[in-house]
Amino acid sequence: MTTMNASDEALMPPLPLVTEETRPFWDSCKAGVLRLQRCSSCLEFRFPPSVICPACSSMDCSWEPVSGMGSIFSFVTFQRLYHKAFASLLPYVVAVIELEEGPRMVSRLVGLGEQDSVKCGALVKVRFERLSDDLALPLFEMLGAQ
Amino acid sequence: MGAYMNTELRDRYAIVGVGQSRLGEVPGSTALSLMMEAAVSAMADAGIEKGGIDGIICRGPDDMYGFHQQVGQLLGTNVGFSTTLDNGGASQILSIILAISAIEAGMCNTVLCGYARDAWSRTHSSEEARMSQRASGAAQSLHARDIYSSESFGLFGAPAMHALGARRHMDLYGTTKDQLGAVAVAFREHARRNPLAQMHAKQLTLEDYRAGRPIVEPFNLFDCSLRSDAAGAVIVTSLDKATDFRKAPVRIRGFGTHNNLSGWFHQENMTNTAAIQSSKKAYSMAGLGPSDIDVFEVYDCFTYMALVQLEDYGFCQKGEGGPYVESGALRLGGALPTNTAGGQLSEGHAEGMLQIVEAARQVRRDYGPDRQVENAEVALVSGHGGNTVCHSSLILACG
Repeated sequence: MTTMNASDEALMPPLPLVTEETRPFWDSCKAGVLRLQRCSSCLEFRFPPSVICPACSSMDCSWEPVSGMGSIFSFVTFQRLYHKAFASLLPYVVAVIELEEGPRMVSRLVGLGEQDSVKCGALVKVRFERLSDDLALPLFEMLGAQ
Repeated sequence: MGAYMNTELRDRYAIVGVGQSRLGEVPGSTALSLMMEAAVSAMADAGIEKGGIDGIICRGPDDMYGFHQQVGQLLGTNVGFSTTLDNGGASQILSIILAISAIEAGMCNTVLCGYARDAWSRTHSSEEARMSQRASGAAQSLHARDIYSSESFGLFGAPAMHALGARRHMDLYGTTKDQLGAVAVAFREHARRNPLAQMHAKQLTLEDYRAGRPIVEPFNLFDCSLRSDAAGAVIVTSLDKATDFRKAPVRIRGFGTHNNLSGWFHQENMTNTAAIQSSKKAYSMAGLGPSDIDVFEVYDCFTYMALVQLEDYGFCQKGEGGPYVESGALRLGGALPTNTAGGQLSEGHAEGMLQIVEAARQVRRDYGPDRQVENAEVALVSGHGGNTVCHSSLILACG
């Protein structure tokens, strides 16, 4: 795990809202494991966390570890600063990641080298970044990054 | 699709007055003051007094509660129907659809539909406003505000959301930056003919576009719509009453809505927008298709959204939006004159209300030869928003 500005509260990005529904996800990230809800009825994985399955409307689900592998569905490169916590990262790449298990999530790409060419469809894997003792973000790095 | 067809409403309602406020940087204005300016201008256009209005569907900035009530209070009137809407940029066409529904239901007869924002004044008019913006914007949020916790990962703002769609379109179909630029340049040329446009005085060439300050790639400054003080208003009534007004009635020939509530990131919603289904309903009600459209007023919050809607409304094949805009089709005199007053990229951003106003003026043939689309009879208007997934469509005709 890498650490980003954990000591300086003023430089913390907006924190995820940890609620009854999302707590298992963030607790898992803290433990370095990506876990998603899986519907007990139709077996579809889902994200973002929700009390109801968007495929079959079942309210029964379990939290299961997933591979942490996926591909880039789309991405953008931030050149303009919207929040001071990201000042040292500019320009940085935010991507919609399509996980191997199906659901898509928003994340940031890390470990990009000068030579890496980011493309829709490129393969990525999760890499957790610890923000504080209580919180780690699931970021992604490209497979075979330089 | 058949279940949605309602050709009974075709040409049964009309827009009988349109108006707008000053646009752009209007120091000291508020959304409410701009709304009243547009309302008075629409009432004058229709030739009616406030007593002639018995319905109000007016929307202001999303952080203003009960905007429609304040409009009615300032107008000094009680009405049979009054509310606001919550579909972002799709709300303004929706206000006309709701007006028709309310009149059909016998709640009222003549409705003032409007939208106003003070996006420039609330952030630029004074040092106090600038400080207040800095203190209240996303830049200071302690917590992410959406279910993806997007802001925790650095995803901020509408430009990035739409740029994600643009990037995917570029990777899937080979769409280029210069093709996005062709949209910005075409609309700026139209704004240069519109003395009221926010960007009237500022030329934009493709070279200027390429040199634009990067915001969130693939978007630069010129891919993004304007920060405007702006308001627009239209007055809607049934066609059988529309002869009592000063100007020729603009017939509401068709409309439609669709909402991809499954989300912008779901399936291919970023590159196959809700305009696909919304446009089919509108075309079906109107008994018309893309080849019948003389002028298009497209919701251009970003260059990419104009480009992708040209595909979704059937003016070209999916993926062909880039070559289509590059052909010069969008210019006055082109195959499909589009955003003929400059659009939100160059005229002013009133979340699509000004596009409805311009469409009505074009089919009424209000303009001289420098701005008038020759023989314009049918205009198409689109509305997109509500966090990128809501869509509405409107087809207007005159003569």
